[in-house]
Amino acid sequence: MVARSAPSPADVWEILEEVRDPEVPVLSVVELGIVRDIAIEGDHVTVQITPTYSGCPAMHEIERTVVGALASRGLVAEVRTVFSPAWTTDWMSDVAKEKLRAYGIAPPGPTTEQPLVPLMRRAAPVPCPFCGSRETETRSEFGSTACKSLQVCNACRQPFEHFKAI
Amino acid sequence: MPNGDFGDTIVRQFLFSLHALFVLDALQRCGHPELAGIAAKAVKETRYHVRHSGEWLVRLGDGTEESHERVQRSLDRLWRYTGELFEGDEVESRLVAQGYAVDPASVRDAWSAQLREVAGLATLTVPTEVHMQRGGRDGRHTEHLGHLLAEMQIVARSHPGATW
Repeated sequence: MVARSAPSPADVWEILEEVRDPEVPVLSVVELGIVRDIAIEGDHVTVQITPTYSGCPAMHEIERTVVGALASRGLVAEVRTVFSPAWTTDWMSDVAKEKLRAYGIAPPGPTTEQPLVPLMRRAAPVPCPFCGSRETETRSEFGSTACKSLQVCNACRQPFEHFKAI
Repeated sequence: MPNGDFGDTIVRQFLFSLHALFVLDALQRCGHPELAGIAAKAVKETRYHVRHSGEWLVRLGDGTEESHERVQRSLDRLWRYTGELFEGDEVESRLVAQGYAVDPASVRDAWSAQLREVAGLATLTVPTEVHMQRGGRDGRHTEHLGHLLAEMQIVARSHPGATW
């Protein structure tokens, strides 16, 4: 891409595809579904991003990396955070979900309509990303990050994380 | 409240998260689009907090004799702090009148019914004590808050101007 000329939306999306999520480096911010919109005016690009979780500590790092990636192509970027509509794991593509699984994180299933208080209505067991067994159990609703839960596979004895459907 | 007892931690989180969940659920339908959007997002996350603490409550309450006794003691101890969850202040009343906030008193029945259902599963007795502690909304807290704040501030206070 030639610096300082107005980029096409496809150019900008291509650059954003290179920006990795710092917590899940196997996915780009586009695959994660958190880039909601882009607007281009000359060499100025506005990127709308929505956090996966409202308290996600990676947001500042993501914003910094997005601005840096676009700046390296001569573009002036501004990141705007939007909260509505709320992010859902349904915005992750099937390709992205398969990448997660290959990385060792059980991908989220489709979200389902659940009662407001979801107590004691646990979803079906999460398939193990390593051996595929459904003989798994939840060890903790919260894993290394708020968006993941901690699971253990009773077939291959491997602990793993599950990206929760939200 | 003092930190360190897992029963206290779980009961406190359940009582509070359940309240937050009903307030946020109503806030999704308030007259301020941005606030409603943030509430819609927070509802998703708060449901996890309710599920996490609620399932622990059932596990502990319906667990061993000791876990039952200890979590019941936590519920008895923390009960007096729940009254204030349903009290608003003057600013809140004005916002409620304008359609931008949720009257905390309006979620009391839903909260109470859900709490009783989970307490039943956990074989716990919901206290009937009527005396409630007040003052938190006016900035009057128990002595434990000072210790908690000191603990949370110690790194920043020990290293003024530090960045990371």
